[in-house]
This record gives sequence, structure tokens and C-alpha cells, in this order.
Amino acid sequence: MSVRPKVREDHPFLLSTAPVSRAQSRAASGVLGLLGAAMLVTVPFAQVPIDNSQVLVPAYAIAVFIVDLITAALLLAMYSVQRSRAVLALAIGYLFSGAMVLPWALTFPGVAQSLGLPEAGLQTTAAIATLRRLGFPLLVLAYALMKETDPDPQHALESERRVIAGTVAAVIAIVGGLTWLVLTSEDALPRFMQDENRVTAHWRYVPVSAMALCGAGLFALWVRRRCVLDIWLMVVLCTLLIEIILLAYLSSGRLSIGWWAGRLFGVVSASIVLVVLLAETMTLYARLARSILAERRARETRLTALGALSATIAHEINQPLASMVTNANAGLRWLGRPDPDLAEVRAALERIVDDGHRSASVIEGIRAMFKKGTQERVCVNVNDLVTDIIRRDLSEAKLGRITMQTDLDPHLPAVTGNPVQLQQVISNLVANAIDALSNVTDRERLLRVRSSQSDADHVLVSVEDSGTGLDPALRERIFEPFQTTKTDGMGMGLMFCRSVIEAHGGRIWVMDNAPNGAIFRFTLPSAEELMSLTGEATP
Amino acid sequence: MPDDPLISIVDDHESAREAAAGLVRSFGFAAATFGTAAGFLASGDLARTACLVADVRMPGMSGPELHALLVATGTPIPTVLVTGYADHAVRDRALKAGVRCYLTKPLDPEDLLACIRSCIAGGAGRSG
Repeated sequence: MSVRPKVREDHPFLLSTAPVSRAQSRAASGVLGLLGAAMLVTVPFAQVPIDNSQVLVPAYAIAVFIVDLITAALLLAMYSVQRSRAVLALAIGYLFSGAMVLPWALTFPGVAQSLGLPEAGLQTTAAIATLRRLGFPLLVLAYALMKETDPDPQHALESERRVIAGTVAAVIAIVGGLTWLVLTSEDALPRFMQDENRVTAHWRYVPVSAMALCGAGLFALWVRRRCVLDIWLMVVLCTLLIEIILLAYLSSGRLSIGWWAGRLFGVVSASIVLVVLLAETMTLYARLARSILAERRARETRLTALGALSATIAHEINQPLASMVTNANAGLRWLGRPDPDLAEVRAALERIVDDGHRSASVIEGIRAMFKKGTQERVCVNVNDLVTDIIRRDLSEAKLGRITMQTDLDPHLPAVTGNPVQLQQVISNLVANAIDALSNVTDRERLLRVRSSQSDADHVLVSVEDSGTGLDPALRERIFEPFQTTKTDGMGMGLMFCRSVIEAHGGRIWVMDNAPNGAIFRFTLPSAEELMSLTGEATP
Repeated sequence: MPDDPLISIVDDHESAREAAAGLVRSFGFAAATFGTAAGFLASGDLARTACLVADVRMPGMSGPELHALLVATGTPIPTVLVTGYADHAVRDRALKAGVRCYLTKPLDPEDLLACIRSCIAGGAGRSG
């Protein structure tokens, strides 16, 4: 079974691909609980009418219109990045729902009159409401069902801007067409209303159909439940259900408290995805800002260190070089005199020899400095290194919805080595694991670092991920320079890891994790083992 | 050569001041060398020095500071500043303060000779 699931373009931080964390599920359940409680509170007053409150209908309509439109715009932006037809369907749903609320409000009995427009027929508003109420859950259902299929490659080739423009135009045309149809064929419309505020027996099919669609959507989302967006859309559909129950069964018709409560739920329902999208956008922005800052800091540190180093070297070498030139000039001048002073010439040449030796010793000193840096060995507790790195990477992992676990042997013997280099090795492996997990959308993103005593005198460290795993063809060469699976990688990280581990007398290798992902392991001789080895080597 | 003008060289790097002294002698002048500005000030050579060649960067008192001190105490000596790091700001400030020349290492023999000659010709009274 060498067939791997095809990984789509990785957008691990998009709402429509990010896996569901426990915290997100809890938050969604909490919101749902609050909304359910709010519905129960309104039940005793649901039948009380609020007279003449139709003046508030345009305000309600504008609120829903704006919220739906912003949500649709954000979803279209998401589509342009991800090119998922499912997200496009959802965006159409919000666009349709937002656009349809305008004719609904303008034909609402009493509203048109107050705005100086001709009054529409009795059945018009209800017919538009029906279209809107059935259309939105239908498109959410389409979203949930469409997610199962891979994106059409032909479709992916089209310019997303053209697709978005076409979609918006089509939705506006459909809404306009439907409104025109409803307005011009009043007589053919089903008789939903018996007067301005009360419905007929025919109406009862509408909430039932809408609830059936919501139920189907909920079921489809529950079965898929792959990403954060799915969870929040389930909350949206539940809120819609509450709205329908309030409007159709608990209220006493239009403009009663129950009816208005239902309308409020409608606004809440429309806002949920918007709020979640905005919250995720802020998180993404914060992450971006932080990584840019970290990158800039790292670059500055590198440049400062490099600048200071080259200035030191330049100065140390330039000084004797300048003296050599001056001495050579002096010697030439002594030779050029009518009576050359050979003693002075000899003195100048001797100073040049000294300067030459001085330059050589400067260069030797620089080399020794670097050598000293790499050979400095102290007693290192590997568990402390791991804990430091995990703490440092925690926020990064949290943003990537990665669960980090450690399983550290408390009785792990110390190793002898360069702590900075060893920390760099572990840090590289953890960073690789985080990268490997960013593609995962259909299972938990798990990163585990273990430490143990592999045998009497070796320490074993494993970095395990549930990521996409390694191509067997690449596994052989993964530790060689310039081998990388990352688009922005240099392929130097693992080569560095191997050279450090081997310089420490250890071994590093990679293996498959079950059922998914990779495990990078390395061993290091414990401090006692290394001491006994060097003790034996000394005669 | 007791009547030769004395050129005093102040540089914390031994190789640099010995090299400069060798070059100055090859011009036919007498040279005295000092590792620090304080060492020069404490010596009895101040009054005899016709031209002071001082490094800009030195631990303790720098070349420009030494020049400023000599001017401030009313015993100015025509001064040539030499440095391994050319710096326009330091150069402009030094020339404004009355330093005769500002030369970068490695020293160009003709430039140094011209500067020293200008020091000797101008004498202690000139400062500008």
C-alpha cells in the first residue's frame, strides 16, 4: 500500500482546513447551550404582540444584510486562496441570504408604505421568506456534501477572480429574478397569509421543510466534522432551527415577542461564522506578525554577529598588513639613498617578518576560537533541553492546533556535549515535525518527544509526529545536504543534526510512525560511558 | 643628529609605531616612539617635538584628545593623526580643531613626508 492520500495545497491556518480542537468544540457547545437557554426564557412571552413594531423591520434587515454580505466576502476571499467549491457554495448561501432580505423587508406590510413605495401583495413577503429560509440551509447542505469530493482540476485552472465575479453577478441576478417573479405573479403564489400578521394552514409546510433541510445539513456536517468551520456551521444550523421553532410554533404570528426573538436569533445565526472568521483572522495576523518579528530578530542577530566578527578579523589582520607596507616603504627609501643604510633596511625587513608572523598567529587564533566553540563539552541534561524547546514552541504549536506531549525519563543520565549544538538539533527536529503536521487535516496533530535510556550507557531521544510521513525513496538521503521536502528549505537542517550527533559519538536515524507520520531518533553516549571510553584511550 | 627636527610617534600598536618610526627616519628626521599619550606627555620630548604623529584610536587618551589637550594647555604641537579606520566625521572634526593632517594606514610615504614638512615649516604657531 504505497498510495498516499493526496494532500491538497496546504493552508493549515484556514478555518476551512484547520482541524477541530477540543477547545473549539467546547466553545461551540457553550454558545449552543446559551442560545437554547435564551430560547426557553422567551417561551412564556412568545405570544405577546408588539404593536407597530414593523418600523424595526428595515433595521433588522439592514443588520442581517450587512453581516451576511461581510461573511460572504470573507468566504469568497477564503475561496480565492483555497479554491474549494464547497466554500464557494457556502459563500453563495450567505450572499443569497443577505440579498434576499432586502426584498423581504421592502415588501413587509407597512414598511413599503412608510418608505413611500407601492404596497406589495399580501402573499409576497411570505413567498420571499420561504425562498430565503429554504435556500440558505440548502447551500449549507451543498457545502457539507461537496467537501467529500476532490476539487475539479478544470475548475482550479479558472481564474478565481472571474469565478467570484461570475458568482456574485449570478446571485444578484437570481435574487432579482426571483423577486420580480414573486412581485408580478401575486395571484399564482401559494396562500400563506390569511391577513398581515397571521399565517394559513399552507404555511406549516415551510418550517417543516426548512427544519428538514437544517437537519440534513446538521447530519452531513456531523458525519464530516473535519474542520473548525464545520463545527460552527452546525451551531449556525442549530440557531436557525431555534429561529424557525420560535417563528413558526412558539410565537403568535408576525410582530409578537416570539417572532422578534426568532429574528434576533436570525441575526445571531448570521453573525456566528463572521465572528469566528474574524477571530481566526486576528489569530492568523498575530501569528504572522510574530513570525516576521522573529525572523527579523534572527536576521539581525546573524548580521550583528557576522559584522562584529568580520570587523574583528579585519582589524586584527589589517594592523600588521599596514605595518608591513610602511616597513617595506621605509626599506625602499633606505635603499634608494645615495649611500644605502643596510642596517636600517635589515631592521625594516625584520619588522616585516615579525608582522607576517603576527598575521599568521591572528588567523590561527581565529581558527582556534571556532574550534574551541565546537569542542567545548559540558555535562548536559537532555530533558532540560527538550523542556526548554517545548516551552519555546508551545505557542507556535497551539496556533497550528498541534498537541505537544513529552514523555521524559526522570532518571535519564546526563550526556557530555555542547548544549547549544544539541539544543539546535532537538529544535530542528521539533520544527520539522511541526512543519510535517501542518498538512494534516483528518486526524489529530500530535507531536511527542520522548527520552529514555536505550541501554546501559546510551540516551535515546525520539521526536514523533502524526504528519504525512516520509517518502521511502527520500528516507535514504534525508540526512544528506540539500535534501529537502520543503519549498522554502535549504536542506541543511538534518545534515547539521547528523554531523552534530556523530561528533558527539551518537547516531541519528528515521523510521515510520504508526499509523501515520515519522519518528526521528538519536542516541548519545551517557557522560559515564564517554568518560570510560576516553579513560581507556589514554595510555 | 641632535639638530634634526624630532618627530614623536604615539601608537598603542608596537609594530605600527616601529614601522612609522622607520619610515620617518628614512626621511632623515629623528623619531621618538611612545605606546601611550600619557607616556609622551610625561617624557621630556614635548618641547623638542616639531611634529606629533598620533594614532586616532588608543586606549586611554586618543590622538584627537591628546591634540586638544596640547592646544588647551597652551603648548600646541603640529599634529598628524593616523588611523586604520577612515571616518569622515572624525576627520572633519580633527581638521577643524587644527590638526595638520589626517592619514589612513597603510601610510603613503609621500603624504606623510608632505605632512611632516608642513608641520615643521608651519611651526607651533600655526593652527588651521
